[in-house]
Amino acid sequence: MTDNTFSPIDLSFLVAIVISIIIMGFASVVLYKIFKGDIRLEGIIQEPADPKNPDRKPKASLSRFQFLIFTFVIAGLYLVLSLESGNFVDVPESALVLLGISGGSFLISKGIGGGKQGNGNNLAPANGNGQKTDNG
Amino acid sequence: MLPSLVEFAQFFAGIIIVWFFLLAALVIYRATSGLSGIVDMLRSEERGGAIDPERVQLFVIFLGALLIYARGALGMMDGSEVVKLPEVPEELIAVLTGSNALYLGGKIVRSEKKGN
Repeated sequence: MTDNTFSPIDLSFLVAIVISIIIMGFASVVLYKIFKGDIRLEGIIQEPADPKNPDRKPKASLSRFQFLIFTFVIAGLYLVLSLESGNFVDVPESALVLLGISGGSFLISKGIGGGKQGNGNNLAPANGNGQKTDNG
Repeated sequence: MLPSLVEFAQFFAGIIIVWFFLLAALVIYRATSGLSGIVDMLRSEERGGAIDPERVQLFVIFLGALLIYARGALGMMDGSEVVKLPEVPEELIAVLTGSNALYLGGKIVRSEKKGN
């Protein structure tokens, strides 16, 4: 038997490299498409357009922005600490409270925005297809 | 010489972390359309585009709270075993709740004034 046999360790290493390259490929494509603008994200924190003034450019919502940043920071810390420790770390209730505060603020803000739009007329705001629009 | 599986896993973990923070930065940049979008968030339509103090205080306080929390969490990476994310201090939660209440209160009042 020669020394250049393929051991199970070598095979597992090879499989790990191949899977990692595939995952990195998908991850790179996602980043590239966001960078090029093929994945459009402009609307995710924008307040809905005013139905009384549809030509006005919608502005970014502070409560949505806060919710987005909180989510990224908590998720990022979870990822970093889990990778650092080698196992899934627990999330304390107080961290969930932080997320809850920003999420609650977003929902109340959405309610205020919806009520404001509803004051103009009693018709539900609709887009070109006759579907109700998100009014948050 | 080939690296060990553990070394490769650590290398790949580093790549995942870099990817995640690049993703976060890109999403935030695209979502806000850069600095102009962030300044735009601090303005209110009710006051004709003027910057609202309650929006500014929320922006500053929530970013400050996140920095304090993230610094505490990253400070746990000193080689000791980490089993959970750090607890958020009660004072920080109270300040953040008050800040959000102030923001929402301002939004409600300005919305009512505009409605009248």
